[in-house]
Amino acid sequence: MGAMDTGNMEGRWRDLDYLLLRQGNIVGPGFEPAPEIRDFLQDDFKVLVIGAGGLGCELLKDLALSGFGHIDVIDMDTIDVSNLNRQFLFRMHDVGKPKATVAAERVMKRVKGVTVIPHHCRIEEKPDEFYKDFHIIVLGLDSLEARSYINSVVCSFLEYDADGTLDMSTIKPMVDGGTEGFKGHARVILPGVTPCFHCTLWLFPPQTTFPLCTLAETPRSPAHCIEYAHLIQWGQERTSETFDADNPEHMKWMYEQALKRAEQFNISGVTYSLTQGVVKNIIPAIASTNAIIAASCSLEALKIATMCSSGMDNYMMYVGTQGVYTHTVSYEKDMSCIVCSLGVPVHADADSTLDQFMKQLIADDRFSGKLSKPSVSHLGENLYMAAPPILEEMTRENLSKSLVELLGEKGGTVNVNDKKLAGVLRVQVAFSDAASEPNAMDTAGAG
Amino acid sequence: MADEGNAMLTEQEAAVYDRQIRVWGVEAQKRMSKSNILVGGAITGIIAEALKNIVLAGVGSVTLVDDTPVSAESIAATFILTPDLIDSGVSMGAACAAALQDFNPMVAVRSEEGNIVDKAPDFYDFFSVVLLGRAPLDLQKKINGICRSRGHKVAFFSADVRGGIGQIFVDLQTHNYTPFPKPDTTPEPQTAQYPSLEEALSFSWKPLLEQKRKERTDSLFFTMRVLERFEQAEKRRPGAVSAADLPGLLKTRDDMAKSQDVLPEMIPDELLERLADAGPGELPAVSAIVGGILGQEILKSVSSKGAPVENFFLYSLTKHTGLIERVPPLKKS
Repeated sequence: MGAMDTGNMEGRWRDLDYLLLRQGNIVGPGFEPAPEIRDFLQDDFKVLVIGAGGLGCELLKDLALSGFGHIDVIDMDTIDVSNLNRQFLFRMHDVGKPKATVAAERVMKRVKGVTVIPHHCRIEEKPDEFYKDFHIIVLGLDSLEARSYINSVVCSFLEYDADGTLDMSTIKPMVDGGTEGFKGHARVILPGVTPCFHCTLWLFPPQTTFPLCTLAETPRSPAHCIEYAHLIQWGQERTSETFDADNPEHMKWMYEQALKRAEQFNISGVTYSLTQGVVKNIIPAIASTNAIIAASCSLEALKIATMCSSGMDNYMMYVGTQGVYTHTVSYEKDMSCIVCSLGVPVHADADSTLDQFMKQLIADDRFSGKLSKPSVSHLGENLYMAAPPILEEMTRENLSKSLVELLGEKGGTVNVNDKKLAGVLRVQVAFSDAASEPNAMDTAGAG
Repeated sequence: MADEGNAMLTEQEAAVYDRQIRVWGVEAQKRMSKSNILVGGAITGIIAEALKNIVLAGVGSVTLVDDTPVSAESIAATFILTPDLIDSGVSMGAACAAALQDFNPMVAVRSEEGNIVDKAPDFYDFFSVVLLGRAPLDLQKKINGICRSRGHKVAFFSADVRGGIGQIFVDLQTHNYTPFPKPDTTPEPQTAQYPSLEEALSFSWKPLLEQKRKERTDSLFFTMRVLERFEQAEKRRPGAVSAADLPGLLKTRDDMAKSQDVLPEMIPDELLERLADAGPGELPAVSAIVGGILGQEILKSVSSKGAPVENFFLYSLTKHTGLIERVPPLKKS
């Protein structure tokens, strides 16, 4: 592609070249400056942006301006008027259109030479292979569930050798951003190396749910009154109707009921706006926090892609209410994380059945006393469930299947659950030559 | 259906601004909508980013004064301009005003002809905030002085990004504000007293470096002072430095350190090298980060809500975080 086609006018990439074409104190390990790095970024590197909302719009802008030439963006939502205070790629006349489609169009119009491919669908609708195709995945999501899902998919790509070494080529880096009001975070996840999303699940405070007795007997706050109307009254008084938060009459009814209840209990503060906020779980949002967090994520993506500077290690928090506060923490991987860790190594015969293997685990000294009636799953799929009875019946046939049939030729990591275990036990199953490897299986029953 | 509070806003404002009103409240939003922002100096990437953020948020008006023609250089770091504007004869002010207006029809965005250098002091009376992009130090001081001399307070911000390094200077004179409340507390109104640019820049370095380690002023602050002094002494347009200027910058550093009676090692060569290499360029993502902070500081100042930065914000790519430096430091009671 010639300079005219890509819009590479004289000096266009001068700022990026300053980072990519010279050695210096800030470069990452093994960095070799070369013009090929910029070409690689523009021509070969594929980045996926998940979300085309507050963070997504800013991410697309920053990544495109930073030299990434091939960007895909996925978002299931359509544009709403309340997005316009920060999702700057959208205008009033775009309301109702798919975010991913409009965002891609606007970015390509403004930045010559970048290709942005939109996907207007849920992240779960894409097969795992879709995600495997990208060099980096940048997340601009607004829910724990969505992050959890992508995290599981990306961590499932990890492969460990028979001796437990991580195959570095299976690491797919993720950069995750999140914002709410004046608070935000940006983090780098190198699965298998830095903590994955699941390793640090404790970072996210539990979602606010009120105990039913408080709602029913002793409300104290306007939110209690609103949730009472939402979770209890609607079901009792408008039994046959499904509540639709976008229906103004439904929302008005919710507000009026909540207000009545608040007056009963002498509680002030119920407003229509608060009612919407509580019922729809609205996250307050402003432009600046999204700009800061998205740009931080983009910088990390650039560093990972080019090694031009040492990367964030590995979690940055930002708070903008009191002056400005930022802090970077180096969280550690949870070595027994059920999603990304290697697992306790166990050698087994490829031909042994699942039943024999489970008996082998029970007999293994390392787990003595910890296993009685284990359940086993692999890559999210239940191989055998000890309980409840209905699932036990459904998975019983797997007990007589061989490990190689269930896990594939290379074995793999299985998650083991048991009443006696505090959490999930992650076990790395490696196939050994039964004749040469004396192991606990010799003493396990023939099954 | 409008709430009592929201009845002070138009329906369109209430709809578009809903998510941010949940952050700072209707009162703050109303005050923002009455504010008039004047923008002078060069409109670089960081300024464009900050302007995007405040236009989206709904300030009253933004007036741009930048009669330099749009060039390939000026396009590079900012998303709001497109290559077809290069050599079109349109000024940066006019081009940026048109682009920014598109983000929010509820804000009056306009371009004022001429050069800010020529504007009489009473020109500033209309404005609540002056934002200076890349501008020579003398001009910054002059305009800061004008802001401090008018009948009402005119808040002053100046900001610049070079490569992966950014700086914001804030002067809100005497600023009364309500902090954002911590959970289950009622915030008490506070007052912050800001030094002028002249006062901040003429403060001695030695006491800043003699503070306890946690409070010690970061070397990045002094590095920017060296760059400023060099450009001033060499009569360079801000940003007109290159790798060839490194020896000159190091000498300026050594001279300044000596006259301030501090060790030159307090200002590492490496930082000056990065600034020299960067020249006038900006890394787009760094401009977005510092522009995000700058936008929010402007909003805090016009809404009187939220503790603003006192009085320098500095950012460096390699640290992944920002620093706030108070110069001169607040006296401890």
